[in-house]
Amino acid sequence: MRAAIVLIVAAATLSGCVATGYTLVPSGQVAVSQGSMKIRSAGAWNKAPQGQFGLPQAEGWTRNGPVLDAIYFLGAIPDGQAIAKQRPEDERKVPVFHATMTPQDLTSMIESAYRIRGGVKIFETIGVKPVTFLGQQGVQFDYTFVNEDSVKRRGRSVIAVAGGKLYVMSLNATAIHYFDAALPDFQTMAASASTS
Amino acid sequence: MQGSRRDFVARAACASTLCCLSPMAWARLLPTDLTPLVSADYRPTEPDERGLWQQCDDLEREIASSKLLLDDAALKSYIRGVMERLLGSQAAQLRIYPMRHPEFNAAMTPNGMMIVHTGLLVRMRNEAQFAAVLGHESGHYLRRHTLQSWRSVRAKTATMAIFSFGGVFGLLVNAPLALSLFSFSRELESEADAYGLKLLNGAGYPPEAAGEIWSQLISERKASAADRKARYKDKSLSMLSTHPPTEDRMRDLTETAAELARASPEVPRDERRNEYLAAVTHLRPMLLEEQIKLNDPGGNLYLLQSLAQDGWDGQLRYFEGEVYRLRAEPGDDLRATQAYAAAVALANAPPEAHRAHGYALLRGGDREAGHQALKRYLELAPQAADAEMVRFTLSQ
Repeated sequence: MRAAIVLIVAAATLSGCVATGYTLVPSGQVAVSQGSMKIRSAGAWNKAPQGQFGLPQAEGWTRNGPVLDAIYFLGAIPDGQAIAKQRPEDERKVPVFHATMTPQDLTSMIESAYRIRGGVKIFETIGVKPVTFLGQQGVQFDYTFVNEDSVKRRGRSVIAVAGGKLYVMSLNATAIHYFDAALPDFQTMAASASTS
Repeated sequence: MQGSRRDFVARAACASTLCCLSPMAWARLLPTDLTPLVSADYRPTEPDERGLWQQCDDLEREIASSKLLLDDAALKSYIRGVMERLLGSQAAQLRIYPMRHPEFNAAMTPNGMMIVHTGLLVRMRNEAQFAAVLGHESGHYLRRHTLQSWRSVRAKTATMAIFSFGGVFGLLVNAPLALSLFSFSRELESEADAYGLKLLNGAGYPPEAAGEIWSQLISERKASAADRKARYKDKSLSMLSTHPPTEDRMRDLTETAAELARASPEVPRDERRNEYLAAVTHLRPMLLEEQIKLNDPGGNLYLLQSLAQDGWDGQLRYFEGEVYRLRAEPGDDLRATQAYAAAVALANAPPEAHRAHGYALLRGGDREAGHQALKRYLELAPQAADAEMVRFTLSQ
């Protein structure tokens, strides 16, 4: 099973595969992650088939294909649940989410997900700073990573805990061109996000 | 990066790895009669071998420019020195590429390119153990195992159709499935073991170092399983495994090493632990970060304890705290807090130990001490990537 948060990362390594089942996301307000969040879509993004990411609360979008850019939503993860579907016997486990997590815990949980489920080999933190997300005090986490395909990518996750549940929006894209190209859309969507 | 199936098979055959094996009856090989089959100026002459070398040369160009290459001049120079101790002038035929990959593994191609994972570097306790791996892989090259393996695999190409994925780079560096599929027969692995021991012994290293590696790996995997309350399983019996340490292989290495040592008891031997530590110390934070963030608590704690055989320092205690923090089982908050407290009281504690200590104290309700620790972190690392977040925490 793949971790929801990094399936897009993993998908980015499968160059040459044919994407099927993607649907165009309409512009305007849309519900994501099983309706746990609402955001204002800028249009021109394509939603990956539901159920592709292991966790039902996960949803992925891409504009130019997941190898190049992807936005991922994860909503209403309850205390005690991991952001990846995993079994007790798994040798490596993505840390379980707890509502009492510090910013350090939240960011390292995401980093571990990238490394464990996304197969990321190099992960470097660029910045961690406070941000308002979903009307809550949240964390903005910026980083670069290199996967097995040896392509450098950039990522930004905005993270908030609301009502004891975890909400994440992540942008992953190639460091050359696509991250900067997608960032304005991502920021607009994140700023418009609300819990349903 | 997609190639034809033929390309895929050829490129896969480029690589031999530490992993093996087929569980069949066999007899222990002795190193005494093994001689190199590759001369110092060896170039392939047979058409199929020339083609294989060409494929591997292409692969090497990709590896050499990969972002996953650990480009560290000091380490490169050190590895070259170890190779020269082992092989003398023949070391010039081989090129070693350290790659960022947390798994324990190394690989050899027939054209003389060797890949060493960072997950191997972090687990070696001394130069003798590292040299044992380099010697084993050199044995594959000098005994021309990859060509034998390639000719064998080529005859089975039809069975490879199901693996028609992946590119060259992904195949070698991150596809243990494919690597193990093309791994050597047990006889060839055994021969490389024996040849490696011969090189190790001749270079003045204690030959038992080779067996120690597998012993450590088995202990690490057992510790990992115990933490998960799972049964240890010797995965080398699985074709898809990258873990090579069968108990019988380790036993054979130990017996042969003992024979070599008995044959020349007067030879002074040195595991060169200090030399190895000096070569990798500056890389250790990165090497440990790669392991700890994979959250395999039992295996990680075993690794840290083995690295602390000369005593705990602040860096190792910090990572011990990180293991408990990521595991987050009942009691781990306290264990992590204690480890961080120990770390910041010792030499060599990284600034992050103060940050982790501060957040652990805050979680435990000690606001004043927590803030003091976070302030100390900012004093030590004012330009830290998360400084703004930590300042915000202090303002709350």
